[in-house]
Amino acid sequence: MKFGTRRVIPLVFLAVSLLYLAFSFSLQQYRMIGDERGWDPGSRALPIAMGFLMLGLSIYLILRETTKEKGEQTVPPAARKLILLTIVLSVLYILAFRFLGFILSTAILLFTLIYFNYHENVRLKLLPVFSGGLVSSTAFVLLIYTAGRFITRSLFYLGRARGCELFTSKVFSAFVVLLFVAILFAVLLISFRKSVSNTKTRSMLIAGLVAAGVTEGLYLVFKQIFLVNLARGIIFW
Amino acid sequence: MVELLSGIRQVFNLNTILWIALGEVLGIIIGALPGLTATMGIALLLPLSFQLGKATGMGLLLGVYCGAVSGASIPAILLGIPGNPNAIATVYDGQAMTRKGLAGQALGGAVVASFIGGILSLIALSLFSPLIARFTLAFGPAEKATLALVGLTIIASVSARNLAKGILTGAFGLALAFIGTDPFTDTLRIPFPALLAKTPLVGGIKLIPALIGLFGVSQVLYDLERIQGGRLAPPQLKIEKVFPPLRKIASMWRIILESTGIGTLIGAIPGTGASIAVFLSYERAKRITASPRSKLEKVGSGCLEGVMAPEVANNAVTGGALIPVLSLGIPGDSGTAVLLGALLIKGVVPGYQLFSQNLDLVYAILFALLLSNVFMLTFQLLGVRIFPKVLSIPMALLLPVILVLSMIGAYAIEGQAVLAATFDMAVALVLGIIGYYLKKADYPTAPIVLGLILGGLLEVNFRRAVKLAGGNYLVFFTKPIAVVFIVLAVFSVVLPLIQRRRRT
Repeated sequence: MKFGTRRVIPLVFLAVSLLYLAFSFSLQQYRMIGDERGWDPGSRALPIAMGFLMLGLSIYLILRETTKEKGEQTVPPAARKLILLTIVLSVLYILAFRFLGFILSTAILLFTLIYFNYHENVRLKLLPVFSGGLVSSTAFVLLIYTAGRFITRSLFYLGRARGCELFTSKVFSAFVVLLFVAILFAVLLISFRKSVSNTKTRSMLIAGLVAAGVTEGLYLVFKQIFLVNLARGIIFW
Repeated sequence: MVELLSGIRQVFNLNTILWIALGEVLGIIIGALPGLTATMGIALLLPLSFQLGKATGMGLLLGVYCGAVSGASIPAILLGIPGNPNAIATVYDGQAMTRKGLAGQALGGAVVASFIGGILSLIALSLFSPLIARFTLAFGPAEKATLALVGLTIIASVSARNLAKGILTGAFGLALAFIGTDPFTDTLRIPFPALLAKTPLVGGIKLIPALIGLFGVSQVLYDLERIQGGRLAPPQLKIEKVFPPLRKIASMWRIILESTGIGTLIGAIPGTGASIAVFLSYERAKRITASPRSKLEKVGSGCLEGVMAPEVANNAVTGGALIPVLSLGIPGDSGTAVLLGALLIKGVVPGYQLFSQNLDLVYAILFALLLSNVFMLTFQLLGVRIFPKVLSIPMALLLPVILVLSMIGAYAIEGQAVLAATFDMAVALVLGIIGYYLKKADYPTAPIVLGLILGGLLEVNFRRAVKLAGGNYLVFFTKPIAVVFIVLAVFSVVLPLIQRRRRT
């Protein structure tokens, strides 16, 4: 019999509930301040109750899933590889985010996922083209980012030197950079549209452009407009 | 009057209008793309709304909500694939109309119907939510604790085909909500406190990363399974005569009113949602048009009546589902659960307090919903030939972009503290993976969110009620309103069991 997700999930919940119960019982019982009589059920009452509720239900579901429900939709092997790649890269993305910084880690994640998704599989024979594409795409993202920073700073200095408040506005400079990126992409798309007919090159181009556009767009919205502290990492400029 | 003017001022300014318009456009696009849900759209834009003012942020999310509910009709009509469950019933007559060469009229009819449903349910929302909120004045800790229990049991029983699975995921959500610190004493309630006391886990599992993980990341992983051949080809159709004749709409007054009633009522029942409402209204319209005295075209034959009935109902759900959110703090569906989360994060407590102390915000929410509906009508009618083109965006491009948006969205909440923000990304990813496997095994994820939202309310009021009653756990059976809530909770659990037994 196939040991599918439907049968594994209640087992996982059983383990989680046992661990949760162990955690709940290990908690010290604290009561509200001023509750000398001990009327407050205490800080671990509900966690323990939830632990037992989960335990009971997961046992019920373990018995039920083995006897009644059967079968589940199978995932195609190619899709399974893509899901695994997405999960692994997401974990690496989180781990590398502070070190590599937002720009580099996001660009690499996006390019890799779009490239392999576009080919609907993760194949070893795609690796040489992918590696070349990844390097060029990362360089392209860095170029756009650097150009964006240059435009923003130039506008800021110009605004201060000429006393023009509009130029010093973070929203205005973000719009100027977005406009620059949009024009650049339009030019690139028009010039490559006819010359690139090869699927491999086209997928690489699309992955590179989307990765660069989305990375820069997110940077402008979250960092430049809303001042979110997106980690810089090794990109110090 | 001052609050009304303040509410108007908070919405009718260039900044808010632009954000609502942006939300509407994004919502329509998200709704039009099969596999992407309204809830996911709201969850993804939640971090952005967090950076805006209360009214502007809520306006953005309401725009996404309305847009996504209405945009789902585009693929339902053109391709026979509903953009999300809200448009399941639109498929039948919508697709049939497209095959007859009436795609334009079907799309236009769906938009007008969504607008009518949205506006009529907004009127119901404005009339009923203050009345229900006033009722909450009588709520003490026992009533509040049992109300939270009702919200949880209803959503657990409705969202899952198997009741035990719904309750189990609800309990899991509550268990996660209890991690962090004790609400009364601020003492740590985390595993391995010696090791993890200085980590962001002390603050507990935050709602936004959890929402983004459960509705954004899990959806990406789920849709990856179907990525092969993931580009939908919109049919090359001539879209003409978009606006349905007014006389035709007027002749459907009964269908429109009944569908509005069904949508608003079903939406207002916590935990239900649009998919039930659209089928009920479609069936009702079928009966009305099947009557020998009816001069309307028969629903099911590929007519405007069959498109408009479910479309009125699904947008009527938007207003209806907001009634329990604003008045009781209990969401009507998973989309409004995220909207409730947005309100709570902004420090707004729904219920009587909202209507007595933040009436201007209530007005602002109502006006934002009105504006969202107006934008939905305008953009969808103007863009009736443009929006179907989004169907050709390949999923191969979309899914990685949604994944990164989810990650950065989760990060942006604690945007200034890099470590805490990175932890939130990890929470979103872990819950996304959990959500994906749960979805595959037919476990609902909405109860987890409800558990996270209502966990604090339940615990604080449960403990307070027992303490005030001198340690008497039977206090919940001594208060009439609490007893009603307990009966409702039991009823919501027992009813599906009886229905199943009858079926078998």
